Amino acid sequence: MEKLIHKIGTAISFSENSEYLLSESLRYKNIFASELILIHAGEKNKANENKFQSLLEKLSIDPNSVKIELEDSEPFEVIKKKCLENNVDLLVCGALEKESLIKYYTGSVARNIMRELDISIFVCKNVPHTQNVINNISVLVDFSESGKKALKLAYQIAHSEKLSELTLIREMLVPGLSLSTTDTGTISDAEESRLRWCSEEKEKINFLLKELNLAQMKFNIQILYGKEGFKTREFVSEEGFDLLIVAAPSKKYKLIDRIIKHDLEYIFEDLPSNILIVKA
Amino acid sequence: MTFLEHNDLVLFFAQIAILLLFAKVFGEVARRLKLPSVIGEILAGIFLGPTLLGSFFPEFYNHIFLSSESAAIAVQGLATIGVVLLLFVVGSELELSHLLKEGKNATVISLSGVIFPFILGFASGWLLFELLTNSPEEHRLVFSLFLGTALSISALPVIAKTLIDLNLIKHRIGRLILISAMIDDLIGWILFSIILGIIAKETASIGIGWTIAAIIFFVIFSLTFGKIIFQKTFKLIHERLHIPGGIISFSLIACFAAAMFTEYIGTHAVFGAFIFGIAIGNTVYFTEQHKEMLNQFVTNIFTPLFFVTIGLKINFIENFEIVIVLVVLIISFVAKVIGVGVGAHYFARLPIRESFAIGFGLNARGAIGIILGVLALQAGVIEKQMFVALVIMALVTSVVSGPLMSLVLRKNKSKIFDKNF
Repeated sequence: MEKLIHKIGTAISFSENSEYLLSESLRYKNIFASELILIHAGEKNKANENKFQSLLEKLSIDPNSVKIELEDSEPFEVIKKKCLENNVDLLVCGALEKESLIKYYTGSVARNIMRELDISIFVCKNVPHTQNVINNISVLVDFSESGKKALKLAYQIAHSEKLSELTLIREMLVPGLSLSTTDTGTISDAEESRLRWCSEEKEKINFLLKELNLAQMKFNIQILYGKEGFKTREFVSEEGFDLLIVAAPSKKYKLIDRIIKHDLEYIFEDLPSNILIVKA
Repeated sequence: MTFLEHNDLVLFFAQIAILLLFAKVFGEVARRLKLPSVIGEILAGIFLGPTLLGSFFPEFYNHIFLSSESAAIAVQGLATIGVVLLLFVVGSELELSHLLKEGKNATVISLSGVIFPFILGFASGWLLFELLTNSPEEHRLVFSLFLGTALSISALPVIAKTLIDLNLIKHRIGRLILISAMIDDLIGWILFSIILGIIAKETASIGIGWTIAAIIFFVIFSLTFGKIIFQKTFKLIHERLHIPGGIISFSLIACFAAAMFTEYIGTHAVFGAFIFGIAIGNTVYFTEQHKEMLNQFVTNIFTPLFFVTIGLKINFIENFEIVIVLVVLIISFVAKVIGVGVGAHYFARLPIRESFAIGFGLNARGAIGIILGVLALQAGVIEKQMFVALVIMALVTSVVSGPLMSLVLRKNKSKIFDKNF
């Protein structure tokens, strides 16, 4: 199998979810046979080293199998710098499910990581109350290079977790469709067009699966018509998926993208599950 | 308080029934002929108005449509609600996120689809003022500004339908046309509202400077904080209140409040409805189902009333001036097709055929062009002859848009159809 992730970085803040973050990092370290680097924004002193020591002990991790990076500066800057220095290609971090309104617009550390870092990012939304297992995974299908990598990653994770099915979501919205009934169109014309487009999207996804040679699994393809990003958020939340895998946006999101929200910004605003944002 | 008397009420309902019946029948015939239904609805008005019914059966025409002023005002009120709601629905289809995503190319194309037609329209209005209108000299500036705006605007409903028919709406070129039409509409309505502000400076509740400042503030506020407020309110309605159709009811309340505000500041009610339509349509709780429900209700009842009353008011034969019609038709085609075509080819670096296909696509003015003409006529910016020319231009550009796009694209269809979004 193609090795998709080489180095995993984990942003540790020694908060209540650090243990969970580390256990998730271990899961991906094992799946992808990758190196693991633990990053903390704080002084390099005995106290912090002891904290790491006890965290590793709790999860029975050999301290020699991981690298620890410490630097006392702004958390986002430290994480960004250390990821760059170590060629990290997947960063694991935690985030609140939802930020306050002001925090949402000004950007918390986790949201800034999601919006600005140019690598794949796994975001844990909260500590699970039950056993830490993945029962179902959904992938937001995108035909870009990042989208293809997201599908391959999802496939490898699903295989490793012994899942029997992978849910593939494709969103679409054609602005102006309901308006087209104003002049010469009819409701049945509009509905017919919508159904035709949905079946075209399904066909395109099947072609993509063949192209990527991902045949050994059952795929449940869902075409969602409506506001892109929001529809997926609703669907993933309602269906109770444990993990959503998406392709990273082709350009970095800025403040304007929060004001005129679109696509992944709806998902970043209110995380429906743990999320893996994949960058090719 | 004044009430509609028994006789007024009888005539009011008679007018509504007759107008809707003819509008629907003529509209359906137009649909079957693959023409925009607005053509049928306007023809129904011409049939029922002074042009035909008034000429051949003046007594019947006068009794039904002219004998009760109160009934006529009430019908006019309904028609105004119709156009306000139509612009609200059109606004709700403008996806700001798609404008943001499409970036440079759509901006370049839409700006060339506004700037060039505006300059050519303004110059034609200024230089051919005496040929195109009998208005007094002091109207030269406003008339020229209006002509520029009328040529800049596009018609989203007819463009969307044309793109669906040509199976282009999901392809890159269709998406560019649609997004550019949205930007053109937004800029066009802002320009038109400023022109109305200039005209209304004497009668408006506030001065022209304040009107323009209020327009700009209104647009920016509605599309940023206004949208956030709507989002929160709809969420509350969606989760906490058990009002059937709560979101549609609240949307209509907001629509009429915005219409009242923009009318108050000296522009037109439709502008407020259009901008609030954009703000509301971009919230996640105003879904496709809401849009479709509202659209059906508006386009089957209110909009036909608006279009049929256009024909009622004007004698299209008496006011048909071939020179004005030809001038308007020529400059509308040249301005939009060349403006967009050149912009798309030289600035957005698109192939020449695609560029001109986009030009033909954006050239359709449809119902929106007609609405702009009606409002300008009501505001005294143009005269009936120019209005008739604008209606003809709107209809011709809508009808030929699809076939001309198809013709231009025919040779490299396969290339275009490979590029899905």
